[in-house]
Amino acid sequence: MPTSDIYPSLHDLEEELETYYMCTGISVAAIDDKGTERSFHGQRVSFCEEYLLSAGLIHDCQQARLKACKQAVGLGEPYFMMCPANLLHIAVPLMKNNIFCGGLLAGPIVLNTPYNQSSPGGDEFDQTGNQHLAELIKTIPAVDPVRTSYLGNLLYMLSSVQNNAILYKVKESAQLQSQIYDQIQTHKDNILEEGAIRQRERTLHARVKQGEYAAAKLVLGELLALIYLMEGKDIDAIKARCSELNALISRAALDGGAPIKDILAFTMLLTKDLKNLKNIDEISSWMSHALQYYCESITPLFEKETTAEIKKAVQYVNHHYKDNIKLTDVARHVHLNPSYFSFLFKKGTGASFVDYVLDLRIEESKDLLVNTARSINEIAVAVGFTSQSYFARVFRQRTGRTPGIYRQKYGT
Amino acid sequence: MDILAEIADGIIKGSPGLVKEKVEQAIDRGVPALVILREGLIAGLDIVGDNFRRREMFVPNLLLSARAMTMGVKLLEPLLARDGVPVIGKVVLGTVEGDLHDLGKNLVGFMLKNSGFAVVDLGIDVSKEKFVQAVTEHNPDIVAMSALLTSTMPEFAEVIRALGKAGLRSRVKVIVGGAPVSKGFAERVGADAYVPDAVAAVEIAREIITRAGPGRP
Repeated sequence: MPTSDIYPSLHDLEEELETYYMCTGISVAAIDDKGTERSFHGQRVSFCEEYLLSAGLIHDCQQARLKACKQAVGLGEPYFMMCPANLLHIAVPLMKNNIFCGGLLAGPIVLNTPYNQSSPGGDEFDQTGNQHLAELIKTIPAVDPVRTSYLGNLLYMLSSVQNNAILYKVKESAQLQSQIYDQIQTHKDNILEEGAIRQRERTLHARVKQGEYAAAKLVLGELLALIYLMEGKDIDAIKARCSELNALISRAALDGGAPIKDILAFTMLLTKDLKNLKNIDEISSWMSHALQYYCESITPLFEKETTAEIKKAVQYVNHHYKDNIKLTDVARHVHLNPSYFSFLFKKGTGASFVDYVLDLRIEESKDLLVNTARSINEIAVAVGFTSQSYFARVFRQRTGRTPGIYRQKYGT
Repeated sequence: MDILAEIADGIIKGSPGLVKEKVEQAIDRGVPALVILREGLIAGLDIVGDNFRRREMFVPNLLLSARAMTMGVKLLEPLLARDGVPVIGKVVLGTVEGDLHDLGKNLVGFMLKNSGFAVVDLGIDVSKEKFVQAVTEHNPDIVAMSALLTSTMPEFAEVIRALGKAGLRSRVKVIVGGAPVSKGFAERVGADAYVPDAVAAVEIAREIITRAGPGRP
């Protein structure tokens, strides 16, 4: 039977489901892609059947549960289903190789608030005035909305063990898409200018270079919203702009220290995919995927032979290089002896502490030289140098040009 | 707190009991049903939406508020339904296939019904075939579609294409809405209008009927 082929080995799930039930007190079931229950941990309740009977309702619970799990695939997060008996069920999908193969369902839960505590099951239920049902519903756990939300997250994490990173990616692109729609609503009545795009592109470059994925994602969302608004229905123009944007992100990743071989290989793959994208949702999801990859490709440099301390130090330096930071400060920050820290830092990053900091400062200064009208002295101070002459000397060593000439050549 | 704010509060707290009590009080005091709906129930729902976007409320809160909303609407329904008032147009309404969200759609249906439209509500998870069948069967002026997921929004285009294939597209106006839907998206999929909220849905539907004239499209 094809179902059993793609269904994840239940053996792995049994322990997780049992743990969920024992910790939360909420019953949990696993269903396959036809909606058939494959596993159950918890307590069966007779409330539902009796409620449906007394209310004269016919409800296909199996189909409803299956649909709820599928809905969660589209959402990229748990789906909260209110059943006809006014009980809540939490649904998350199980995926294998990107194929939907079933789901997990936690519930039933009586969704409760401080304002409804006297009548679990909701006021609609009380109106039936059925004493027997009123007793039965007391056997179902009553949970407030906030805790229910976290019960959903926990169930999602359980399924993620099975689903590896697939759903994470769906969620990432779903999040980006909803952010884009938000932005579109915000900007739709404004007059759009190229300048707005340029300015955000610079920010995006800086964020990617520093491997700040979360911040980069926000900027990318804004940029895509602006692009979609500006280009309207012209999908080819949107693709052209996104291709540009993609080049900018990959460039930033290289500047941030990502290995060039990986970046080039990935860029080739992306370029091929771009041709086949049909609508802006696919393009958004494509960009989200690209950004994630490029940002992640910056980190492995430090991951190869790096301890947690060095990673922490690199993050610290990336955030504070514009201040007057010293090796001893950073060593203290990660609780290491300065000379040992210096040794580990070089081993981990391939550059001495001083070189690393100077690189960051010079890169940032290039950005400011090209994209702002600030004076060279101001820029020197802004990126963390104490004097303009020292800045000029280091700049020349690393770029072969003075800051002034660099600005003349690349500035706008 | 005035009674409308108390009703809104009941929606925010997600308490059908509180909403029932306060709506009944308001009705007794002679507050017009449409005012209760717009300045009490919908005002509360708007705040819930804002809190949710700011992540101060969670999805289960929305479900509770939706339930409280249903309670409020149920109480108002007999007051708003106007028997004998001539029907000004007919709307086929549904949430597209793959989408199980119905709060917005229900509100739109409710508002339309109470503005003199005959509403055929196909429910949630409605396939394009069902939309086509309903248009053939009921011969409406307007097809109204809703979607809450970005993954189901493309269904709008599918339904519109299916209506075209069945030779029905020119007979109806298509309006679309839902949280992630924008005007631009509505245009791209070939809809006739985008509906930002339930109140606007009524205005847009009226406009469509007025423009088409008494002869019907």
